[in-house]
Amino acid sequence: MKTWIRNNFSPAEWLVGGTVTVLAVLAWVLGTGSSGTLSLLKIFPVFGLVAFGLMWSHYTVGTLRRWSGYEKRGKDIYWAVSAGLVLALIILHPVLLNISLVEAGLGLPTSSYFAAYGNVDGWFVVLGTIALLVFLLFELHRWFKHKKWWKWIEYAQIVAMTAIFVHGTWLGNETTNSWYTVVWWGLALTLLFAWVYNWRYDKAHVPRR
Amino acid sequence: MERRNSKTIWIIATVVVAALLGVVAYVLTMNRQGSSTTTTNTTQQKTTEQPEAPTADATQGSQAVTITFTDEGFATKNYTVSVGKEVKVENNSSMQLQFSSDDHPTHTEEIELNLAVLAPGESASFTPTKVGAWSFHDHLHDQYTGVLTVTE
Repeated sequence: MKTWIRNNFSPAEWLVGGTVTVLAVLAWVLGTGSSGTLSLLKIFPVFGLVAFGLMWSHYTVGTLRRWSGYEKRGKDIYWAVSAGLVLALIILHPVLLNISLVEAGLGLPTSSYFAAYGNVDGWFVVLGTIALLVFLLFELHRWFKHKKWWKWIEYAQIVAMTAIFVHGTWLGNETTNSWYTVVWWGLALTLLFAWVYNWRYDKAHVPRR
Repeated sequence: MERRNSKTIWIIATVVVAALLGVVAYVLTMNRQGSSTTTTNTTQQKTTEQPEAPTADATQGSQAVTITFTDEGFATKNYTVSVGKEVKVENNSSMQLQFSSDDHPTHTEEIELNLAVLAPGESASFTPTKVGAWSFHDHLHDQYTGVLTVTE
């Protein structure tokens, strides 16, 4: 198994990322996407679903790389393309929502979130916004990844992923009311497994900074 | 080799982002074109009464129509009514119901459909004045959806 992954690493990571993307899009097409007239408010959730799936693939593919002992050769096209896509999706997801809320006369965030979703659900939208800001912080890795404090930004990404899972579970339609619920929880469980594996791996292999 | 990889990445990324923006622009344009209807007058009444049995056939055409909400969602997905005829919404479930026009959560597709929160056993009615196929949902449980077609 390890040998197969080492020999087919690039196709394997595309397969993993492609599968989670197709599943997310399919869940949306069969659910929210097929009810009533298509609008920005109906489209924006699928961007969040796909973004979460691709971020999940970054953690799991990274874990597979470590587990199989695969050594990177040159630039990883999958990582670069999917990272760019995730960035576009996590920006578009709230932007489309906010355009719709402004067009509906509900004003700007965060008051528009509470006006649209109510006092309880509004907080879960705010939680998603905070997680988005944490994800955007990661983009600073180009300049700061060698700094001593950078590990805290990486830990914050794990907290943000957890926050996004809670955000999606509370607010999402496909994540709670369709066959995709099983996939969603499957992603969460494998993500947890990947985090534990990576934590143990770092403890054993990476010298303390 | 690395330079070629970089070029491929940029081409793929540009195509994907352009496609995403294209979808957004298309939907925005479609929405602007589709929102050209006229508003006249709507009447809404809210009553508390014993719920009746769920309506079996909701496509009643020119007759008044009753939309029944149960613990499994709306009893029927599609309803048809003529302009000016009363639409009654009955909450026969054990949950609260906030009958609302699409889209969730702004409810702006057809505001005549938007009702106040109905407790279990409560009902409310409204009289549509615009012809069209209006999607609706329960704002409190937005997975429950349906379509009200208003004819001449």
